Amino acid sequence: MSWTAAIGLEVHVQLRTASKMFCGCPTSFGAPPNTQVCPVCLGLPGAMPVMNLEAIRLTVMTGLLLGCRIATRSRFDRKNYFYPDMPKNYQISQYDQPLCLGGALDIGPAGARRSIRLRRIHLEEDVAKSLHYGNSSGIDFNRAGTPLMEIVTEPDLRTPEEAHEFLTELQRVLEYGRISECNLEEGNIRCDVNVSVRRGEDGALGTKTELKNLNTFRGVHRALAAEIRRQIAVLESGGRIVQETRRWNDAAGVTEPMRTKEEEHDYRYFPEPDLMPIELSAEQIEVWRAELPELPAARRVRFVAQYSLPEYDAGVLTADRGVADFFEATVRICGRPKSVSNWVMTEVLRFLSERGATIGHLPLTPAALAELITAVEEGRVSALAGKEVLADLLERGGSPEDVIRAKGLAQVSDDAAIAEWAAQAIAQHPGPAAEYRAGKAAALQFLIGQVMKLSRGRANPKLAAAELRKRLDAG
Amino acid sequence: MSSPAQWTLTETRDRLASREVSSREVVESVLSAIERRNRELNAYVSVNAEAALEEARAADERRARGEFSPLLGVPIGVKDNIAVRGEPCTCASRILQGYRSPYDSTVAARLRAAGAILLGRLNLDEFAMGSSTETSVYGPVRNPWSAEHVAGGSSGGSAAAVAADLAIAALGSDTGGSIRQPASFCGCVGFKPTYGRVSRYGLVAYASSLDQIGPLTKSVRDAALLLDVIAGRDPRDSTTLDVPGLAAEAALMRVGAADLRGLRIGVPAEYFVAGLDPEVERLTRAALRRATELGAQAVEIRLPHTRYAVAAYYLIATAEASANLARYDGVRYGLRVAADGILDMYGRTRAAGFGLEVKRRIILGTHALSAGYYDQYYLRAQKVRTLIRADFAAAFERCDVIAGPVAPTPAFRLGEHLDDPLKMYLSDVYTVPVNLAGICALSVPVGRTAAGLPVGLQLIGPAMGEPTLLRAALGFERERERPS
Amino acid sequence: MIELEWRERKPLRTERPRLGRSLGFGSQRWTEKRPGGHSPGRAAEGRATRLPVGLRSAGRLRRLRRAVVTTPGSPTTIETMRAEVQRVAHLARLHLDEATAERIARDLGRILEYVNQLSELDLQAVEPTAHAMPVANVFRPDEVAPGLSRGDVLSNAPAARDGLFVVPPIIE
Repeated sequence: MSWTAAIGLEVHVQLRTASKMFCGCPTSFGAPPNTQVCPVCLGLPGAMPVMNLEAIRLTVMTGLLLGCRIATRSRFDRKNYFYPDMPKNYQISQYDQPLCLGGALDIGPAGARRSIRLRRIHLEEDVAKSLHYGNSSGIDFNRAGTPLMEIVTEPDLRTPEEAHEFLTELQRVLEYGRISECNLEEGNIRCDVNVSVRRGEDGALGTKTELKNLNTFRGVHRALAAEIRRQIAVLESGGRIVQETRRWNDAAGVTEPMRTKEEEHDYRYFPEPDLMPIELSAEQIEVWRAELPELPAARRVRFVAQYSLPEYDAGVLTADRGVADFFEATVRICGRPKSVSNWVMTEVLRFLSERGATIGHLPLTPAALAELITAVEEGRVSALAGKEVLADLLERGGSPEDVIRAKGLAQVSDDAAIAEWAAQAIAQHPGPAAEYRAGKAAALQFLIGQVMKLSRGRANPKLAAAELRKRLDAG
Repeated sequence: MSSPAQWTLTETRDRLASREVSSREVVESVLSAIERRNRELNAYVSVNAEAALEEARAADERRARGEFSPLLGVPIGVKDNIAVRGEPCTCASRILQGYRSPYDSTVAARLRAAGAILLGRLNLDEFAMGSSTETSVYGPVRNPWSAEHVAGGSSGGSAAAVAADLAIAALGSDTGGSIRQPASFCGCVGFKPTYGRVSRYGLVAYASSLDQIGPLTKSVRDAALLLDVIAGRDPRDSTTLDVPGLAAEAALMRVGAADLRGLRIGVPAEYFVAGLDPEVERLTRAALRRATELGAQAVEIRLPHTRYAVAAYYLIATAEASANLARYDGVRYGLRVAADGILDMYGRTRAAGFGLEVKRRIILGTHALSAGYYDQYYLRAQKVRTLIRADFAAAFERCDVIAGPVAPTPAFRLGEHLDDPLKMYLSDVYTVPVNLAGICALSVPVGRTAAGLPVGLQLIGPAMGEPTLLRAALGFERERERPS
Repeated sequence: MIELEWRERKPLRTERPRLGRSLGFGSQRWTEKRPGGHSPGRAAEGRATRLPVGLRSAGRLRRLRRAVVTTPGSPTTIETMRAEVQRVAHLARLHLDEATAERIARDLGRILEYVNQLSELDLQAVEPTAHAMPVANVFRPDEVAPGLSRGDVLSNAPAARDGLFVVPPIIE
């Protein structure tokens, strides 16, 4: 019988707010140490917290996006423990009345989607940053008090790959909802995991261990793979798993027990007396629900149904909320969803990936792309010339008509000009001309290509083909 | 003419406004009174004389230019647990020696905006934990009426300073009686406002759900005036209430001092029980009789859960305190005892920085919250709090104010309760229920014992009942007596 | 944040939601809570005239002082009190010398016996009160406000370097 792992995640997400959770200090990253602090986030005697409404809203929006029950009554508690990066030596967090309960996030390929259940989502304040010197440590309180949302899953994940996929999908949802900047380098998403293994699919869960402080999705994957291997090896050699917290050693590729003796953990939670409870009316929750963006998975399904796009196109277009919004804005102007999809998926996305840019920062507007696609579809500019125009628009913006005019790329349907290019093509390539006459129809394509080349893409390909056929059949 | 230091707050304000006296003269008078008697009383722990004189000069100039602010040029004393920018804020604890607040509490900002001069810091029990001002690192405050007796606590410095005319008026804080009890012991007016009436931003927290800042003054009108200045919703304190302004002083102007007609005074049987000092009982009952002569009607009421209040109070207060005092760890401010490791630094700093009573309360509060004890202690205490609130709500269906003693005894002797913390806690039995319920109450002097010690009467009003309470207190107010 | 941030949670406490009146969202209003929502403890009703414990007689206080604690479920001996004081002192990061620990253990035993009188009350149907005033939803808008200058921030620091608060090494 093979082994199955049960993995649960606790994901800490920094919210996209301008100010901290309980005071007006900015949340921006990278300021000189201790320059974004005030009596509240520094824990000075007498200072008091006040809740940031936007942080509450973003957490509730996350709950709505993930299908959680939103608590009609919620509150903050004090979680007591000493650590030098904690200004008050208690953290304002939520204990038994979190903002969101339940919910789920689906992962897996189409047709084999799995629902990963969530236990809860709550809000708390981040701690300060410690820097370690040889014989002392330094503390910068700039980050202290930043709103931190904690998403806790049930142990429903089975493999490191699933954990990775869950995190990627979660990141997409958070980006879609404009919940977090999701900047992993700046520590916007941090993860603790717990994992146990058992024989087969059913039966009681095994003893779990916890892995702390994993800052990249790849790290989560690697750490889990190593820990699962370790647990199986221990059990197969007749050993027992000890419930403990372990650290991922990335360099050695192994997990190792934390060195300290097991601390007594007794957080002594009690209701934060400085903050009043949160009571969310059904009306308020509905107001926020109406502000929800459509999630990637739902949007993908809608794109297939509404625009008759292939699954593949819909998946690519909806992976990024900005791209999907751009696509829909373009289609609203010019229709032709499949053409728009082709242009966006090939030219636009290639440009973005080459430049490492996001679609929001492009000079190209949906209106300009719609105008260009219409020009191509109506034969006013060839597809080839269209690509040249688009390259220009992606760099500099502006109107497609102006670019077409400036570059002289308007399609030529003038009979005399086409006749001249056709004659030249036949004269310069007697071989293919002869082959066509001998019955090899495919040779005509080559000659059309030559006409296009001579015309710098401007010749109307249909007219060019007709002209070539006329001349070759005649001669 | 008496010296300005002896004047009441309203009197000082009026004489300044009529230019009968300058702010400089008032401040000098108060400073010289401090000079004469503070060594003996130990009411102030620091006085910023130069800055106060400079501010007085500026206030006189402002007045000369025709400026008006309600407290322009009036010196006020502030308990040393209320932050004033640039001034020490030590809470009478070794752990905050040398600490200066880099910011203003909201009440300090409001007093400044009203033109007041914050001239000194007043002594208290360490972190306001005590009922006698004996746990102060600066040593005890002496009762102005008898040097062998305590001034009460924890706002003992504020009460003694006001009673002995070392201050025109002062601010204190009241978590379980810390304004009312020293006011009673020293013979001044002490007002504990409704929870949420006055901002706590900048008040160093002892028990956040119970703490409230309030005035200690020489008269009921003074208390109304000071309350008008400091009360109001504060966006920095989520627990302040969004209610219309008080205008308490103006309301008092409209009523005759001795008119209590129509006032229903609730007298709780539970406040007149064995353990109550006979002299305190006699003075309290005499005051109630006078009140009925002035037209008030005495109503017998019941507050059946009074006997559980001290237990509930000490569980809730110490639990909150155990968290509130965790921040004193030697990392960012205050005392640090050097050590090789961080854990050792915490343990040694806090051992050296906190006194015995603070340690005792941290231990009790930590225990009450710790795993396995939470339901038995903290949660149970919070439920009892509900019952006590309900007691008061039911009582106020039948009366407008409740009257009773402030404390079971007059001021006790220095050292008398120090070795017996439980006995000290039990002496708070009549004051802590008010804090648990979040309602307002005051102490107004009603006489002196044979030994000459003052005794105050406690008047308790419902939440937001300040105007009624002050009006009632006027009826009980007598001619002010001063210690010699 | 490494060792000390073990996130395993205690089992959730069973607490009923409070029956406090729901207030309009976004606005803070003050309303007095009516006492009808709960029944006062039955034990108290019958003894409305009983005196505050401890004030009844000096004899009772003397008995308390002997500190033989008998309430079920509470620590019973001075030895268990001593151990409890040391356990809790560690949680509170408070080094207690032996004399102080002994003193506090003795006091704590008496104080706990006193507060155990709360178990006389039947509190099953009573909601806990965490806040004196039944107000909810006090928020601030997400706006940046000026903080402290770095001079002010570090003005009280026992040790600072390069704009950082300096502490002994944080063990990993």
